[in-house]
Amino acid sequence: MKVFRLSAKTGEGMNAYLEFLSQQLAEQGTPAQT
Amino acid sequence: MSEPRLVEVRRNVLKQNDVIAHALRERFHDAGVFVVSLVSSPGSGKTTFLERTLTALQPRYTVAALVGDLATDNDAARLARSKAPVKQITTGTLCHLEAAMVQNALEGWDLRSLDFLFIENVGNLVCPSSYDLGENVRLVLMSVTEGEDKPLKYPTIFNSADIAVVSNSTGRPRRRASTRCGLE
Repeated sequence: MKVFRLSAKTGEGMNAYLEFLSQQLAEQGTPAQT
Repeated sequence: MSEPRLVEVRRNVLKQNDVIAHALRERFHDAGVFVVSLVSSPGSGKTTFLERTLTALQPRYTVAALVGDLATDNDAARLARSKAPVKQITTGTLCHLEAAMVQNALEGWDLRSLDFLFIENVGNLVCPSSYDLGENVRLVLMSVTEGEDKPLKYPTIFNSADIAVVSNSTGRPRRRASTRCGLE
């Protein structure tokens, strides 16, 4: 399980989570290695 | 005599949900949209977190959200401030979203135009754990003010989640909280 610690109120710590989402989207668009 | 029948009905409902969720997952994959479902206790800051996520992603990505609640469209109204497309799903007496509700709510949306779709479930750490929504990842949010033993009290939802977000709604994020509650 991936764990992120952040403050939803101030936004502090959000960057790691947003970067993770970007990475997941990029990987989804990558054809699977055979 | 009635107990075995109840079990059978529940199995059938879950089986039907899984069929729809499987179709949704294929549809999401074909459209190239990455789907995140969010679960948490009521009042843990899920909508605040999602509003901030939508706002932060929008300069680079196209995003949208579905929001589940028993009643009212308050959360959808809050999320609409992010300027992202948002639809409210009102579940009435149901304490969770089901795949069919998501399927119905997506009518009229071109998924191919989206990069991310977020599905905010009804605030509940029990019922949503049994219902696949076709998402890529399930995110469980907990606020440090809820107490450190949430993962111990609700193991099913934490065991089925791919991401845990530990949010300190009153200040700086704290590493100790996620460590002490057994997530790390």
